[in-house]
Amino acid sequence: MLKVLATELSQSLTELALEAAGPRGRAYQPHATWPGGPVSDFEPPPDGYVSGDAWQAVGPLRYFNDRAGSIYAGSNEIQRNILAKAALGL
Amino acid sequence: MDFNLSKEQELLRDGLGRFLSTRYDLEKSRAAAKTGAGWQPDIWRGFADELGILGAALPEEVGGIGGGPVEVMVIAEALGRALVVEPYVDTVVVAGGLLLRAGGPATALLQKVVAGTAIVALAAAEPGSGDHWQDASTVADRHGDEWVLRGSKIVAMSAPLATHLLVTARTAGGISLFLVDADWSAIDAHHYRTVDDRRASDLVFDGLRLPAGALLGQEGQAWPSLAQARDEGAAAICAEAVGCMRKVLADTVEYCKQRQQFGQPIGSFQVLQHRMVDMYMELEQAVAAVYLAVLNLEAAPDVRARAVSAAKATIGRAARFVGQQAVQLHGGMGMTEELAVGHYFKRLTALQFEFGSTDYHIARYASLTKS
Repeated sequence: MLKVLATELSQSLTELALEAAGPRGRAYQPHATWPGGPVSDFEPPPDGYVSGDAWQAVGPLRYFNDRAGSIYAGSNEIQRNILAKAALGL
Repeated sequence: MDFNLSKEQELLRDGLGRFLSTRYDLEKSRAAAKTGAGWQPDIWRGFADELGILGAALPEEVGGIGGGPVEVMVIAEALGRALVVEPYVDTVVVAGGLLLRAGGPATALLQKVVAGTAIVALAAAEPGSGDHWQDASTVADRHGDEWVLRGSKIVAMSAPLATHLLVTARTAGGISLFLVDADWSAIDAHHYRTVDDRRASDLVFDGLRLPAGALLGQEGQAWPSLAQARDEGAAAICAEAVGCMRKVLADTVEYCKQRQQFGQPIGSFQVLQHRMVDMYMELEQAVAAVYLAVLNLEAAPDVRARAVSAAKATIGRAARFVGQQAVQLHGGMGMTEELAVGHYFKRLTALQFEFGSTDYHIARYASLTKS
């Protein structure tokens, strides 16, 4: 139950952050925070320019990455199957 | 109401579909977007010379074929299905409409757009306005025979590819539209890639001098045309979204038929069948909403705005759900760069915020319905 609730709460939060980033959330700029380390097919701008603030830059990256939360470690569909059996005896 | 396409519109759809399925390679377009020039100019040449789609919805006086909103819908949906990054909506629909309505000297540039030799991008969003274009604080002052432009623009889509920019600025009496050469030695510009593998720029104009003829249309009177361009852009990307969603739903259904788990295809599980049916229902509502917007694009401004907002809000919800569930049902594979679904998901995410977010359009629909 914790896995389902926590990953879906996290997905709601990252979705809200993406919305809050506004038009700046469109820019792909991993160099603002490097949340997952260096990116192989990305060359950061020589002057390190970031459009907007770091939290806006990281918004879309967290949103995309967080889609994995409901897939890995037993997908949330599997977790609900387990709850159906274990908690409800179905 | 007749929802059938004419013979010519069917030919347009089928010709473009064939061109894209044989010539537009997803991997090649991603490579161009990520490490190359950001687009494939030879594809654009094909659009102009072989297919003639750049002028399909523009009048014959500028070299077009004389179509309208339905032609744009047909083209944008096909481009969405193939995940085309080339700037059809930005240059032909949005900038093209602005140039057409400005008339006068803008007509010569529009002819070049139709011929595929000019790329025009609109710079309207600002750090303080977000995408509320009417709140522009960039200013253009008249000094003798010249205009002097001061201000900042953000996320000007397709500007890095452009030969010309259309820049909004405040002048006496309201908002005006200026034509600016995309001469990057004269403009303080930062170009970057977007999350959906397109290109955009942040621009700073620090006293850029423009000739008197750079003013397009009447001074201070650009807002009605800009509002129309924004609605036409929104309707076009709604049709593009339908193309994207048709593709990811078909891919998801196919994947769920193939992928085996617990000794059977995962598509046999009822929970996933229902999910795909929900995706299908969102898609069908999106299709209907696009028709509503497209058939009202030439109506009075408030009727047009209401229909476009209904469509953009419906498509925003559908694009989010269909994109998220397509990734979820592909499992770990949905998170990779190898399958198409991840790339489509990014476009379906970005377009929810383009030409007004879902929240913005819900609010606009509400205010237009109350009055």
